[in-house]
Formats: sequence, structure tokens, C-alpha cells
Amino acid sequence: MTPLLASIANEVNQDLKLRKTQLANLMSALFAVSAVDRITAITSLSNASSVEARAVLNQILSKSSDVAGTLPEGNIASILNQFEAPEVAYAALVSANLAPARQSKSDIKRALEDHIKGGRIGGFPLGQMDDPLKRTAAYAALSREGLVPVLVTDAAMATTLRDYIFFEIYDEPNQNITEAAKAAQALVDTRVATGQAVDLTLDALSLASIFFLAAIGLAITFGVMGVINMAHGEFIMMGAYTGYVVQLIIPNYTVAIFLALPLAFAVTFGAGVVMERLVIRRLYHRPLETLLATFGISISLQQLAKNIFGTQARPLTSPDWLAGAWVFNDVIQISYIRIAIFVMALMFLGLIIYILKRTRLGLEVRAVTQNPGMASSMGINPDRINMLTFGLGSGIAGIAGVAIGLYAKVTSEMGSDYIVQSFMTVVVGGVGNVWGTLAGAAMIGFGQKGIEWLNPSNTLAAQTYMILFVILFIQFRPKGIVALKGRAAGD
Amino acid sequence: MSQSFIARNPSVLWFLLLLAVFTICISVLSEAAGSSVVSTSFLKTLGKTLCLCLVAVAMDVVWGYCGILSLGHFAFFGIGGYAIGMWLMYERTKDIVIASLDNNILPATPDEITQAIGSQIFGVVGSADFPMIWAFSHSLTLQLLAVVLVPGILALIFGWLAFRSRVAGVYLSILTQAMTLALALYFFQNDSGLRGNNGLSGLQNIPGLEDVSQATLSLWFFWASAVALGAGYLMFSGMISGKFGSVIRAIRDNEARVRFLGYHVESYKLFIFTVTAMVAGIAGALYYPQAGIINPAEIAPIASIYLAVWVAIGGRGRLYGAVIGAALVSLMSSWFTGGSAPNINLGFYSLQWTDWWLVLLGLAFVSVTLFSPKGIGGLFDLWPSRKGDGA
Repeated sequence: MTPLLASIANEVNQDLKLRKTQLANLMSALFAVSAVDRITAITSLSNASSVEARAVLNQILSKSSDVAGTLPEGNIASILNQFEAPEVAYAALVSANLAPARQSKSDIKRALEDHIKGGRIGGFPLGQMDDPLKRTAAYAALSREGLVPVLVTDAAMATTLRDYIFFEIYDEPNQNITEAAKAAQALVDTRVATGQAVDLTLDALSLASIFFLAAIGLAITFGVMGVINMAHGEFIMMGAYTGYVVQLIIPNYTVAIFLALPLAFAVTFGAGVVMERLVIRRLYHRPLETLLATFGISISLQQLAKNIFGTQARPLTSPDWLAGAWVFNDVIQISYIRIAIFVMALMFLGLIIYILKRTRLGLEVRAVTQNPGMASSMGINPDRINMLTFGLGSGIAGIAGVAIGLYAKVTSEMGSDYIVQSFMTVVVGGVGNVWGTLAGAAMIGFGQKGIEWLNPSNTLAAQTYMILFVILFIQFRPKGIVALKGRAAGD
Repeated sequence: MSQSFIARNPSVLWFLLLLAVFTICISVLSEAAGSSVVSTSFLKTLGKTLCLCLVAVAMDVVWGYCGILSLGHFAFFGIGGYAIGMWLMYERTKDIVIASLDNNILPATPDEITQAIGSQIFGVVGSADFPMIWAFSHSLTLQLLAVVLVPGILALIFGWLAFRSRVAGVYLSILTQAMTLALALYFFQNDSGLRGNNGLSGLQNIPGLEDVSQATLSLWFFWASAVALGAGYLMFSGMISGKFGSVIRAIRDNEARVRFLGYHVESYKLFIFTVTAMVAGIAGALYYPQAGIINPAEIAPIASIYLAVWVAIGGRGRLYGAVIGAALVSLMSSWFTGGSAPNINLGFYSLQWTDWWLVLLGLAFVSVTLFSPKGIGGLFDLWPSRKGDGA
């Protein structure tokens, strides 16, 4: 430790100097000779949140549990209540050689099997041994004969436990040091918890952006036009496969991504326009039929993708500059790809709001959705507008597909993974309103991450409960979070 | 009453007659009767198809007659299968476990037996304890009740919530699809206690009937399926004729007007939704013992969509249409995807039906929706209508 401390003053490299100071601090918290020095070092650790600092504090606070007849001298951390978990406490007594071991059910069984005499055990016939009470009685009989150890019953266990005191003792003998470490750890824990909350919020934000991206195209075709497009998910898939094909042809990932985005838009825009002309146009004002027909298209497209690209997942590799993660500290970090998706979601939100509210096309779209007859008498061609709007919504789904493909794998079934959630997002947010879709995505994203936080091991459960929540939510706000009012609401 | 009902609905009589003739023919030709025309596996396929027809009839009532496009009825079908599967699996595992424990020196205690069954069933998901929902799996009666009650209660709660807040049309479809997805995701979880994505298996072995050959068993199940389809068809056609049926169809055509006439629309819809869900559960309970295995993928949202596809292709709004659609499409599906259909060689490309069948089905569905909303059943309208024969 002395050479390290000596080298700090002369260190010219600032990064190295900082690191050395940190290390010296960590080491003096553990190994400094005087207690005062250690306490100073420990207290300074309360500002840290690194894994190292937490490890040092844990090391200082390391303790072992023990059992004795009377409480010994020493730096006692806490006294345990042995009746909270009597089995565990008794096992500790057994391992300390203070009490005889308990016999498990299989121990008893084995002991009984070893002492069968002429079809009887301890006087009981073998046939009665399917009764647990008879087994205990037979064992008791055997133990009276001295053939097996005496059975430790629950009552005996409780009596034994009462004679001992169970406690935890710090390995560190100096109480002042452990107190200082405890105080520092409490501060660190608070900071780590805050950090985790921030991290969770970032996670939720990026999940919400993915939902938003998946649903934004629907916000136009379903929300604004009122067309139920169940093949929307397959447009997302088409966009993702476009990205994959572009990457096959162009090895430079950066160029490929920037080429894939407009190309995906073009492909799905085209597909959307074709679908509108061939199918959807014939089914306006028959929403249930539209739903069915687009289901058919969705089934076909999915199988077609399977035939062309196979069933295994295809990679869509992100360029190197998107590969890492932005590390804020040991607790808070977020991968660049998630940031990119978030930025992209924001850009789309801006773009769509701009198109709908600030351009000629947007004006005509809104006019046609509100009153096609009136719009056409004003010189707007509703057929053309419907076609373009549907193409726009589909094209955006294609771009979303590239983004989602970067984040998840590209498979022929990726569309169906998102379709239900996308509709949920639009419905929860409020149909006919892009801001509503944003609100819906935020609610579903944050809700799902929130549930995941309560039960971290289970993403499926989080999805299940989120869907149930959404179903209930729609009961109470059937028009969604941002409900249109007045003439715009229409019907 | 029944006289006039049959007289008013000659198609019901024709259907039941055809079903009876079909059942008898197949029974005579089956392996159990000593013939080899209908193999046991094909007999099982036919039995399963009858179950699918039954759930399609239920779907037709809820969608074609009441106008509720439910995308959740196949989930109810799956729940029925799971309910019966739990008993089948428990009893069978119990028999196996008891047989293997007989070799032990000491006779096993009830605790040990339960433990052994538990680890046998739930070993695949790393558990040995019986979850709460298996509490009744030892009793056939209770599980048979569950076949009807679990889908019924689920449909009742869901329908009550949805219809009460006037969720209708496509919104209701999306909501039912979400419910199906939630159910499928729940069944997929390992800790939901239904063996996660392993599902329940070995359901073709009926406990207590080990001595009966599979050929005979599948014939019995075939009969049961035929009887269930006949009874379900009769019940539903009774339900949709007469005044009640008129109200149901009126709700489909103009819900608001029926409400203004003073009918409590929600109760009618809820009744139909719940009853059809129960029937779907029964159909599932008959289907899965013939299929032998059930897993959560069976109740994924796409399955319910296929159900809608069958009914639409067969012709919704007429019960025999649903039967035709379900039988035709599901049999064709298993024929084409089973690899027995001959591949078409186009010279530059060999068309594999296993790959292209779904593409074709999807496109067929689109064309039916676009050009022939009445489906295959619509062809019967071309039949010259005789006096008193119009339906």
C-alpha cells in the first residue's frame, strides 16, 4: 500500500492518478492501520456507487451467524429469532454439534426398511406402513429397543431451540468501523436504488418507443382512416427483411442501414398502395370484412416470407457505432441502439404531426376522413388521398421494421408478435390521434416494465398482466386516454 | 313443438340424417369393425374434424347470427382440452407411479404417492408440487364440470365487461384477440402450473381402459364427437329459430334499433357468447384425447383466426355452412400440410404444397371475403327452392 500512496503525488497521467487515488481509498478503508483513517476512508465511500466500493463495504460488514448458550463478547450485528425458521435454526445447532440430527422422512423409511423382522417392524405388520402415523409409531418402537436413534419431534426441537441464543457477529471487531460502514452503505444503497429507478425508466422509455414505432403506422391507417389492417405486422416484417436483403448486398453496415430505411419505406409503401387498391377500397365502411380480408393477406404474407427466407431468424446487424452502450455509471446504462430507436420514435412523431397538421396532404387527409363527400366537392380526390394515406402508414411500418429488426431478430413471425400490442397501443391511446398513440405506447411500455420490476424473473407474466390491465382500462375509458371531442370524434 | 320445429327447418333433419349415415359408414369401415378401409389414425382425424365442426358451429352462432366476431373461441376450446387433459394426465401418471412404487419394500404413504406423481408431471418445468389449479384433477366429475364451467365463467366475465361498456364491432374483435393472447402467454409460463410450453401429453391413453385397443377407443371417441356435434347442431338450430333467434339476428343487423325496441341487448349477447364458449369447451374436451397432446401454441391467437376463416369460407349465418367450412378446410389443411398432396413441378420451380398451402388459403380467404360473402354454403341458395322448403 505504501508504494501506491507514494506514487500518487508524482503521477502525471490524470486518469491514472484518479484511479490510483480511488484504489488507495478503497484499500485504506479495508487495511489502514488506525481506526480513524479507516473510518475517514469509509465515510468518503458513501459518495460512490461503483461495484468496487459496494464490494469493499460488504467486505467490511461481512458477518457470520453463530449459536451459543449465552451471548458472547464481540461486535454483535443482530440477534436472530430462532422460531421464525425453526428448521434452519435447528440445522445450525446440529452442524455445531449441539443437538442430535433430525430424521427426515426418507431417513425414517430407510431405518424401517433396515429393521424388518419376519414381515413386521417394531411389532407392526409391513402392510400397515402406508400410514404415516403407523410409520412413526414403528420407528418409536424401534428406538425404544435402542435399534435407532430417538426421533426428534417438533416439540423436542422447540425445547432444544429455547436453550440457545442465535446471533450474527461481524468479522470486524471494531464497532465504530462497522457503524461507519453501515451508515455509508445506507447512503450508497439509496443512491443505487435511485440509479436503478432511472435505469428502469430508461428501459421503459425504450420499450415504449418500440411500441410507438410499431404502432405509429397503425395510428394513421387505423387511427386516422379507420381501416383495420391486420397485415400491419407483416409490413413491419417486410421492412425488416428489406433491411436484411440490403445488408446481404452491401457489406458496409452503415451505408446499408441508411439505404435500407428509404428502401423499406418504398417497398412497404408500394405494398400498402397495392393492397389498398385491390382489397381495402372495396371494403370501406365494412370494418369487419376489412379485418377478415387483411387477416387473409397476413397469413399469406407470413407464409410467403417463410418460403423465401426460411424459418430461422435472420440477423440485422447494427453498425459498429450503434453497437455499444452508453454507460453512465455501474448502475445506469443504455445501449446506443435503444437511444437510436427512441430518437427515431421522436422523429416520426414530429414528422407525422408535421405532415398531418402543416402540409397540403395532411389537410386533405383530415378532410377526407371527416367527410369524404364534402372533401371531393372541394376538388379533393378521396380515392387518391386514401391510397396515399394508406401507403404512408404502411411505409412507416416498413421503417419501423428496420428499427425493430436491429433490436430483435428478423423472423417471418415478428409481425404477429407486435400486431396485438400495436392495436392495443392505438386503442388505449385513443383512436384518431397521434398524441394518443404516444400516450398509449408510454402507458403500455411503462406498465409492462413496472410489472416486470415487481416480478423480474418473468417477462411473459408481465405481458399477460399488461394485456389484462389494458382490457380493464378500456372498460373505463372506452375512447382511450386522449379521446377526441366534438365534431372531430365523428362516429 | 319439435314437430313444427323440424318442419320449419328441414335442413336440420337432413344434416342429422347425413351425420348419422356418415357415422355408421365410417364405423363399419373402421379397423375396430375388422375392416381396413379407414385406418385408426384417419378415424382419429375424422373424429377431430367433427369436434372442429362443433366449435365452428358455435363460432357461427356467435358471429354469423349474433354479429360478434369473437377471436377467442378457440381459446375456450383449448381450455376445455386442458381441463380434461389434467384429469387424464393425473390418473394415468398415478397408475404408473403406483405400479412402480409397488416394488418398494414399504408400502407408500399417500404423501409419497402425491410427491411422486407431482415430480413425474411437473419434472419438466423443474417442480414437484401440485399447483392450486390441479386441486380437482383427481376427480373426473369435477374436471368434466370444469370443461364447461371454466370457459363459461371466463366468457361470462369477459363478455359482461365488454358488452356492458358497449365495446362492439372491430374493437370487440381486437379485445377478444388480446384476451386470447393473454391466455396463451399465461399457459406458456412454467409457473402457471400447466407445464409451460410442454403442454399436457399422453392424453390418448384413457385411465381405466388400458385393455381397450386404440382402434376401439378412437371409434368410441368418434361416436362421442358425432353425438356431440348432432346435439350441438340441434340445440343451436333450436336456439336460432323462433323469437329468440329473430332477436339475435336483429342485434347483428341493427343493434341500436333492437335496443330502442326495449330488448336488453347486452343480456342476449352475453348469453350467446357464454353458451358458445361452453360448447367450444366441450368440443375441445373431445378433441384433445383424440389428438393426444395439447400445448399453449394450440390456443395462440392465430388458431381463433383460422376458426373465423373456416366459418367464413363455409358460409356464415347458416349452421351447415360452418360445418362444411370447418370439415373441408381442416381436412384439406391436414392433407396439404401432411405432405401427401403431390407437388407440382413447374419446370423452373417445384411447388411444395406444404409451403404454399397457407399462401393459397390466405388468398382464398381474401377472395371469399371480397367476392362471395356467403361462402360455400351460398351455393345451396342456387338450389331450386321447393314449396315450404325455404330456410
